[in-house]
Amino acid sequence: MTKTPAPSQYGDVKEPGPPPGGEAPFDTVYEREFDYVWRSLGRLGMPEAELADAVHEVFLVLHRRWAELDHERPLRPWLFGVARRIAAAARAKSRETAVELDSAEPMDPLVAQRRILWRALATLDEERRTVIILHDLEGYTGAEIAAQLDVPVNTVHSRLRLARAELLAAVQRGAR
Amino acid sequence: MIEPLPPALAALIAAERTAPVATPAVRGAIKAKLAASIAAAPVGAAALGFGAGKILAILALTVGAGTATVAAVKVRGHAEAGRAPTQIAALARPAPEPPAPAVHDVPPAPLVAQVPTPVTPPAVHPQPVVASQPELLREAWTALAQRDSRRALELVELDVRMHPAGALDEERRALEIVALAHLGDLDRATRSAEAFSVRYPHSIHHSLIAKTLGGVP
Repeated sequence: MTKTPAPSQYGDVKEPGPPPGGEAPFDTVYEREFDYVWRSLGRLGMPEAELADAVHEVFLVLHRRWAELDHERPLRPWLFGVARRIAAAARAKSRETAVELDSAEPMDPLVAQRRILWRALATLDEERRTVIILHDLEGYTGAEIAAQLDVPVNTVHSRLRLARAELLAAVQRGAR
Repeated sequence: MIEPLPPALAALIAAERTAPVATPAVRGAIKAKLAASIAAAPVGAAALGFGAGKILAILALTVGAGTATVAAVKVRGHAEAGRAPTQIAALARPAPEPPAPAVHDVPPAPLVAQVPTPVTPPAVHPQPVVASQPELLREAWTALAQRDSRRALELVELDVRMHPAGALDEERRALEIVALAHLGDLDRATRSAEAFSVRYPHSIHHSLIAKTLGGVP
């Protein structure tokens, strides 16, 4: 069954529905989901220097598992799960969770803002980070996240509240 | 009930969503590497259902300025791949290039009097018809990076008119200060910088502003 994306409070950023004919060609999916995979890995704490390799790895997994996927269902939750595992493995390997700002060089302000956010997200624990990414950055509802993570909705709300407070504190610490 | 996001986080998230992702060069390199990994992995290909076919890919990757070109891809005896990814070979295809103008297409010299060359009007920057605040500020930043500070300032002013209460006010003000300094309006840039530091004491843009005001060419 295909889920109908609910409009998000912060703008619907979820993926478009599947094509009318079902399966889209792999390269179409690659082009469509590249930015999503890149951002998800960065949000999940993947060091920027390793992002390109990690994106490659996610799409390689997608290619290997292509035949098993239900192409009628949204792909992004699955891609997010793969990205989560790859980012967690990279974090465990390098224990590198902070992206350092090199403030001596002029930087696109939006990129600088993104680095602050990613650096702050990297300080959260896995469960809270996942919930805030899915809710506040991707626009899923509490009920959708609860179904995806197999936890009660109240747990999602509680994690979200804590995650926001911690994220705000981390952003403010980082700005000082 | 979920409360609205705190404004500080909402602004960061808005910026994060619109920040550029990977440069064309990086995108191209990843695509080429992916095509190479897929083509060079017979075990993976067999697992996908390519088993009956023999895939031989000869990839010569040339990652140039912004593009990754696969010089040759040879697929031999590719049997029906079931539900394997379709058009995977397209990943390895180089992007089509615009046709080069043929020399013999040059029109013949006119037989009658030469038409005077029209005077080229001064370059006019197209104004975005409807642009979001992140789009406008991205364009302003690009203009600044290209040393077109006047254009950057125009875009900042346009953004002030279009999005007076926009979430990216901090970025807009920082851009304005840098653009003013580059244009030599140091008095106004300094005044704006002072106001900026009061309004955004913890901004990440302070180092850029200080560097710009301290070392304007």
